[in-house]
Amino acid sequence: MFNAMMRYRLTAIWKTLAMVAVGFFGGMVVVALIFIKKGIDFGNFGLTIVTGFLFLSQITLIVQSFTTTRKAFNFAILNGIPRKISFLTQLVSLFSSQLVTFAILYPIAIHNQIFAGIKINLLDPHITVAFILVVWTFIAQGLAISSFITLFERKAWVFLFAAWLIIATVYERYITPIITRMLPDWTDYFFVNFEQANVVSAIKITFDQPNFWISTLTSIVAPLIIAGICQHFMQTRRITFRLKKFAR
Amino acid sequence: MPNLQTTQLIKQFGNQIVLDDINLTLKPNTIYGLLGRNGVGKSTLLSILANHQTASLGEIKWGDTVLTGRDHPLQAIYLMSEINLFNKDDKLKTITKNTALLQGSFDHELAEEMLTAFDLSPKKKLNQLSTGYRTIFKTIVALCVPAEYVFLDEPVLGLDANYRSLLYRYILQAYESRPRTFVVATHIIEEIATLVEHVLVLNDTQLIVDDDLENVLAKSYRVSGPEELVRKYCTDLNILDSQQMGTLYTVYLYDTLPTERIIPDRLTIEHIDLQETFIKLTNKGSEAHV
Amino acid sequence: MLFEFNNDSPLYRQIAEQIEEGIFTGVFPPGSQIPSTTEISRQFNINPATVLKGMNQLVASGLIEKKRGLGMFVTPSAPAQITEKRQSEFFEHYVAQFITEAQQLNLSKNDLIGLIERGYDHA
Repeated sequence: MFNAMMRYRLTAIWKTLAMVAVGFFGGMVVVALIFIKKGIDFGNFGLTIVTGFLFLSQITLIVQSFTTTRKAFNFAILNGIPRKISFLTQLVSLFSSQLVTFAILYPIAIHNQIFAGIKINLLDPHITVAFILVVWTFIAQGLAISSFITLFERKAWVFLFAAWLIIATVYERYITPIITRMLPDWTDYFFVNFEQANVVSAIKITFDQPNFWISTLTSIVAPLIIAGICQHFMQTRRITFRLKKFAR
Repeated sequence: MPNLQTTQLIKQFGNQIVLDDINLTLKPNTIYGLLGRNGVGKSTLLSILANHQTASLGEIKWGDTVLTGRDHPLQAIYLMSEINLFNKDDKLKTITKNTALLQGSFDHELAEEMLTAFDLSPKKKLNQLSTGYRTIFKTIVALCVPAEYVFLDEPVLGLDANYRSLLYRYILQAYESRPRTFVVATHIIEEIATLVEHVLVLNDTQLIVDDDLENVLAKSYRVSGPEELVRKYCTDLNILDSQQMGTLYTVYLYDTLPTERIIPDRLTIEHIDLQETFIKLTNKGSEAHV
Repeated sequence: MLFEFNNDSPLYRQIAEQIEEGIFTGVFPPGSQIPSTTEISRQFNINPATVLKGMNQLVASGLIEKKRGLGMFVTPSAPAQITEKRQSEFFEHYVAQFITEAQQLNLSKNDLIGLIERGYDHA
């Protein structure tokens, strides 16, 4: 059952990625044809496409963390697949697809001249791990939110919003400073003036701190736990959220 | 093949109790008819048995094993219902392919035959079909999965007479080629009466009938004649309803006739069919008790 | 094959009776094969278990027999058996009622005998 469910999910994910790729590449080809007269460096253009698709694929996977919850759950339940397997395969398929797309696209994308100004080694494990962790955080959030929404009817979304506010505040208070320590400014990635040596050592120092790992893992693991709990209680019909005290 | 059993099953939605103390044993290789008025909880019951929803209280057993919590991984049970659990944007052939993938096996031959018989193209998307055709497709899938207990929740809803007849035929065909249990929940009782072996009637949160069709029909009577004769004959019998038309008094019974009581000449006693029995049993205000 | 079902008795019994009628009237001669359970089940959308019960009743009374791998066949003695049974039931089913009805219409025994003779003259 696990294998069958994995195959089902991976097929769905990669079909979507393929469609996004075709759409994106198609669009880029049109752009190329427009600018062909002005003369373009195909090498760089190719790398730009790869870079664009790198970001697009990660965004697609994050969106999938939202959209694959309800439909796949329903189909799994219909066909007697246990909720545990349904959830596990959702995690594994999303995270593994993220790793695969990243592993293929990132090493190529970094040759893009956009990054030419950056003299640090973008393949430095600290940077790649940071990138992966950030995407994983978003995927985890997507899973948690979509699982919650799928579990409860709309009235409960007020609670969701409240919870989201709390989590966001906590995130703001504890996690953002850590990321800021890692890099002086996210936007600076694209500018040439860059305290590059400091960035790497900043990352290295951050990674050495247990606090960092605790908060990072929390921002990934906690939403996954929430998602898991929600999916455990999930049914084909949304649950009406009623506090037992007020039920009678 | 194990029985599927529920003991003291209760389902509550907020304050409202929908199913109260349901004790039911489904046996293998039997065609059941599940009858009940609109909104009585037929779909909920089937949903709970198939692990689409969870019970508020009570136990479900698969043979001797108690199915605990929310994860009884039973591909042996398959529920087809009004709720659409398929991906609407998928083509029919994609849905059957994915179902086959998750189920491990699938009767593609029967699926193909039925799709053709009902004029359905596998290349169409689910959301391109009308409600009736969607129901047909869902039923086709239900007949082709390897499950041993197949629940069909209103499989003929919205279907014209020809398609209904064809569907019953296919249900019987599937039953004969590979015997399994079917539980058919339907409102079109007359048509289901020859198909089923065992009748379940849900009314007012309870299972009021759980018996072989033969036995149910054997106890359903219409007694008519002059009022005092009818009343006298029906003393202490389980009366469901009574009607007066001029001097003709009619009483509907759900009981075994007492053999020692002589039937007066002026009394006519006839059996009624399943649909009429059901109506009398489930009408509001009827003194129905079973 | 024409089957008509009513509410009077269990379906399996009606199936048995109507096949019996077919044997009696010669639609199914001795030694011939009667429709299979599957055929009857499919044609009339009847649960095969019900049809089988009816068949089993006929097998039990010796009117049909199962030939392995071939199907259900009318036994050679079936028509005779049915005739004998109906002869003994004739009084119950027809005569007793006939007399009751006649009495309600104030017809005497002699009136009845006269009617019977008239019936034979016209037959």
